[in-house]
Order: sequence, then C-alpha cells, then structure tokens
Amino acid sequence: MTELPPGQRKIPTFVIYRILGQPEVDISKWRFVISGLVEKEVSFTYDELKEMADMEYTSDFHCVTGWTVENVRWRGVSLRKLISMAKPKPDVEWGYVTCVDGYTTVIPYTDLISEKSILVLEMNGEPLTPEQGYPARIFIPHLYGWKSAKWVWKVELIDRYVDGYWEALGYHERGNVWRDERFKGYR
Amino acid sequence: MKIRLKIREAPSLHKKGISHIIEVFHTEIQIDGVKRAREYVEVLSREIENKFGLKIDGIEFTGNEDIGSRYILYRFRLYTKDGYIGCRIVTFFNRHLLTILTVGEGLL
Repeated sequence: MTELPPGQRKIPTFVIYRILGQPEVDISKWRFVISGLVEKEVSFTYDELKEMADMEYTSDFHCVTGWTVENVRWRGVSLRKLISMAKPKPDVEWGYVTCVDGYTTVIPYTDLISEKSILVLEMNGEPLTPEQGYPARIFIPHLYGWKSAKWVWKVELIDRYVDGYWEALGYHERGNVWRDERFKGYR
Repeated sequence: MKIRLKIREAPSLHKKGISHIIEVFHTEIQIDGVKRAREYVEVLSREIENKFGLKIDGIEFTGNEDIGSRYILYRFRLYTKDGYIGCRIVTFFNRHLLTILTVGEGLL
C-alpha cells in the first residue's frame, strides 16, 4: 500500500475536468513545441514522439481537490530530454505550458526537468483518450494534477513567474503534493 | 476589519471572459461557515464599491467545497447592473487565506 500525501483520499477512477471544453486535435497539424529562453526552438510530431518514448513507470495521480487514483501506468518521453534538445539558457526559472483548448499552467523549471517529469502518450497501456488529453499531456508525480496539463502543445521557458489558469484563481505557484501546496499564501 | 484589495489583469482567464482579478490576502479573520463568509463578503462588497465605483446590488452564495482536508473554498456572486463579480474565498483551518474576485470584461 502506498502512502498518501496529506489531505488526499483514494478513489477508484479519474474524475474528468474539461474547464474550457473538449478540444478537437488534428494530429496531422499538432506539434509539441519547446520555445522561449532556448538556443534553438524545437518541435515534434506525434509520430516522432512515439519513436522517442523512453520512459514508463507506475505512479499515483493526485488532484488538488483531494482525490487520488493509485497505480496509474504512464508511458512517454522524458521532458528533461526533450527540453535539453532545445538547449535552455541558464536564466530559465519556469515553464509556461499552453494547451490546445487555451488552458495554461506554470511549472517551476526544477520540477519540469525532474527525473520523472514526462510527456505522456499512453496511460495504462493505451494511447491517451481524448478526455485524458490525447495526443499528449504532462505528468509530474509530486505535483498536483492541474500542473499535468492535458492536450498540451507548447512549453515556453521563461525567467519570471506568470500565472496560468488556476494560478490566477489563487492556486499555488508550485503545487507540491507532499507539502500540501494547494493555494498561494500557504508556505 | 481592514481589507486591502489588489487588482491586476488576468490574461490566462480571458478565454472565460474574465479580464481582471482582485486579490485579498491574509485578513486574519475567522470564517467557520457560510454565515461568517457572507458577513465577510458584505464588507468586501462595500470596499469594492468604494474603490472601484461599482454598485453591488446583491450577493448570492453559490456553494462551498473541501479542497483537501484543511482548506474550504466558498463561492459567491456579487451582482451589479451589468453582470456579476465571482468571489472565491479560501480558508485554511477556518482562517481566511485568500480571496480572488473575478471581474468580467467591461464590468470596470
């Protein structure tokens, strides 16, 4: 049995949130882009990312509202590897994430390139479903789920903090599940 | 009760029709239920009227929920003649932590 972070309870399956609606993705036009403070902007097609998939592990998913789904199998590409291909500049502090539906979030750079930070292409042995973020979503096990943006298409590396969607509504800049970092103002 | 309001633009919420947010941090007041939350919102409404020249015609409680086991989120709407301002109050162990007011385009 795995240990739950503070304030979390187990539930048997995902609650699906689509705060800006369900986007339709044209996979022939979709690209995953890393831009901003980099020496060379890089972009990848879905097929290229499938070829590059190098990471697979099982980890729990924690929603900031308080629920946890245990033992989810994640497969995809190391975000650290993808970002290193763009040659980030030394002053990068944050990654600003933009999704096909217009959703945004912001992730500290150290968390974005942490060991298990992954651009997910498959969950539980299957390609992502539309409601789970097909074609790609981010997952970082120690951050709350609003940072695990679905339908992601761009990560812009920046040197100053900028609110994403939920951060503008008061949610925490980092969102570490083990530190109970749900809202700003709590340290 | 002294409340300091800080307004700023909210580009990440434009898609929801929200142009600005108004933040209130750490008022050190106790909010241990809807009644106390409403009293706080009434004070907040007067501050908004004074600072932004808006007339608040009505306050509606739209719900509350637990966020984890220590935070409670209360939601209200503050109605003006042209629409409403969304109000999200977060408490931590029943103490006010922050309030975010969401202001629609054209309201200010």
